[in-house]
Amino acid sequence: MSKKNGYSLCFKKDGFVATSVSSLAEGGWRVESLHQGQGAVGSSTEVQNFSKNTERLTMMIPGVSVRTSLISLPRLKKKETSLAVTGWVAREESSPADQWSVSWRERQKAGEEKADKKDIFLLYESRENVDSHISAAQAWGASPSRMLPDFMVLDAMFRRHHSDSSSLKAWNIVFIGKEDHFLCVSTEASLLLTRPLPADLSDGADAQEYLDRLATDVDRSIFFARQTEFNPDIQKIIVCGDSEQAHGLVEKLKEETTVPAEFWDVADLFQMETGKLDSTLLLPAMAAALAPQKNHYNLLPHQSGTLLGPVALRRLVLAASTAAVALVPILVVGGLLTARIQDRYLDRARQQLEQSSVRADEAAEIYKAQRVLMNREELMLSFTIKDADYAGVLLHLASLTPEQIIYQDLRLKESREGQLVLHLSGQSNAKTVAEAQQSFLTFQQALNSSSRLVAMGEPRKLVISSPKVQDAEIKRVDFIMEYRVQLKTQPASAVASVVANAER
Amino acid sequence: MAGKKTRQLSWLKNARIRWGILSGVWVVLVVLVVVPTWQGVVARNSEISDLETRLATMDDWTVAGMWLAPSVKERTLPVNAAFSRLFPAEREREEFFLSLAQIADQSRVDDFSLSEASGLGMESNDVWNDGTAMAADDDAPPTDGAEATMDGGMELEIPKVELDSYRVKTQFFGDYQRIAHFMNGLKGIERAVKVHSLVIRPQRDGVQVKLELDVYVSKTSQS
Repeated sequence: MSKKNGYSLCFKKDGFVATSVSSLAEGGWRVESLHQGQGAVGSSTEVQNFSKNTERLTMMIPGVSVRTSLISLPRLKKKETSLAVTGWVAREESSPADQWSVSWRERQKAGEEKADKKDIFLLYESRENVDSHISAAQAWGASPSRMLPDFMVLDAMFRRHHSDSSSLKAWNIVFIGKEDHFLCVSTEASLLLTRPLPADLSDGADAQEYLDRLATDVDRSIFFARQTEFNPDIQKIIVCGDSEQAHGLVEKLKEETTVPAEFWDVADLFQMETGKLDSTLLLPAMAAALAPQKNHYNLLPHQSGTLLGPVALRRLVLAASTAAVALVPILVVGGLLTARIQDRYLDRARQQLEQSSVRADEAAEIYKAQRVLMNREELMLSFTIKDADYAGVLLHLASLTPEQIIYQDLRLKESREGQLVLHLSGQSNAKTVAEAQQSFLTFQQALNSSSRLVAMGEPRKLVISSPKVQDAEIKRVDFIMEYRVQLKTQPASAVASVVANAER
Repeated sequence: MAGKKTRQLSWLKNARIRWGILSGVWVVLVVLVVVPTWQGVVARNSEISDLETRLATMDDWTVAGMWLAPSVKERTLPVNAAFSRLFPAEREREEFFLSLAQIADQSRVDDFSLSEASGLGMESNDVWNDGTAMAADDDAPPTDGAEATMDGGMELEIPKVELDSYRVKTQFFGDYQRIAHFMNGLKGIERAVKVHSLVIRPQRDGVQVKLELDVYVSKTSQS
């Protein structure tokens, strides 16, 4: 959404007008949307969108209940002036200051400055009315940024968008609409006074009489303004609003007053697809057009945007800016210094690394030599340990064998698991079966009792027979047995002895 | 001319523009100068940390080397000599055969015969298959040696100590006492020898012995 869009919300007795305008490059505005409805709350989604644009939303209230005044106060600071203004309102209305919503501005005009005093134009509305309007806006979900009475909208519109505004010193601007009728007597410094104008009670039946009354009221207002302290020289009467009535009034004023009068066609400033703006919609459209623009007056209660006051905020911003500005050179210088120190350290560390690398390489060579020596020692040890005492095994076997036992086959072999296995195949011969069997059992018991032999299960073969040998019958027990041989392990110092032998 | 210049620079009087320009300059300084400077500082810091780690590792190695050096120097000669004797670089078959023959003479065994077996690696799982049962090459004792990566990125290639083996078959005849003497004599040979199998068969007037020996030699590659 363009930043030049403006919105206004205007609550009237029997409904609301919600207006959205966008400024045109060639000047003037386009009415983007215009909604009128009964009740206080708009229902369409489009109307509800107003709540999203509170930054450029002017809430226009009827000027009838809003009071204005021009006062002179001593030259004080802004805060004290504000207190003085609200105090003046409280005294004037004989009620506490917090029951009034006040907006004020010092009149600024070259040549009118007073040495010890300043003139202030102020407008105020009861807080109750203001709150009720705020509540109505909140029912829309909207929080307007500004609240202005209709006459202030007209005054601001004339000052900013009428071609003669800069050349006139004082003027009287009259608005005649179907619903709203008022006039504002202003000088280039500020609004001086505003007056409601009578409505046409004949409802158009006696237009001339109504115009006479209006002209009289306008003339009186000029007279009244001249009686004030500021004694303005009204140079022009500007009439706007309903075209027909305004033209009639201009003609009437030309006849009855000496002040030049002219019609100001405000509706020309607004483009609308459906034709020209009706006089009832002119003021809401003007309020929307003024919404994006700066305005010194606002009847909304002051809402501080921040927790801090303006002075504290200014100091905080100043401190933050100073810190940010100071931080840059500190960081730059600190970074450069650190980098320089790091570079020096890196150079030294690289040199140390080169020297250490040489020493570490030498150490690595020593370590490698150590590992080779350890590997060789381990190998030598493994062979020394595995050096089985085969002769001892055989001699041990011989010592256990009774004379009746005859070996047929004796095998010693290392299995894949590294165990030495003894395979015995033999026979026990005797004259009787009992003797042959007894010899075998004695042999088997001797083998089983040996600490160097472990039986690998039951005998594989055990056969008792009675063969004839040299025509004599003998009794024989044939057997096949297997034993695991427990080799004598060499002590770990065997390597040392091997090495010692080598040295010799 | 001066008036034109003044008009050209009049926009500088706008506070918002002045603040905008100052803020822009500040951001440009931060982005183009401060940030790159500190990025360099952070990068250098990580480089320093890496270097310090490597230096610490190098120092550890240096100290370890200083401790190891005397011990290694002292042990190198005797261990290598013993190893060379136990695992000669060449097969030195003739010398070994001569040693076996001498033991056979001293043991007074008869019909002593010697031969080198072929077909290594064909051995089956049958322990008692006494045909041409040969030790597999990978039956050799494990040899150490590998690449080692140490902390701090130092890579060391530890030289491998590899062994080769061949098999010798002997056959002789004698009584048990002579056989035991022969077997005992094997222990006197300063070579890495393992009895692969021993088969003793009693015969009419003695015992027939078939003995297979695995003889190990080194094929050391020391870098």
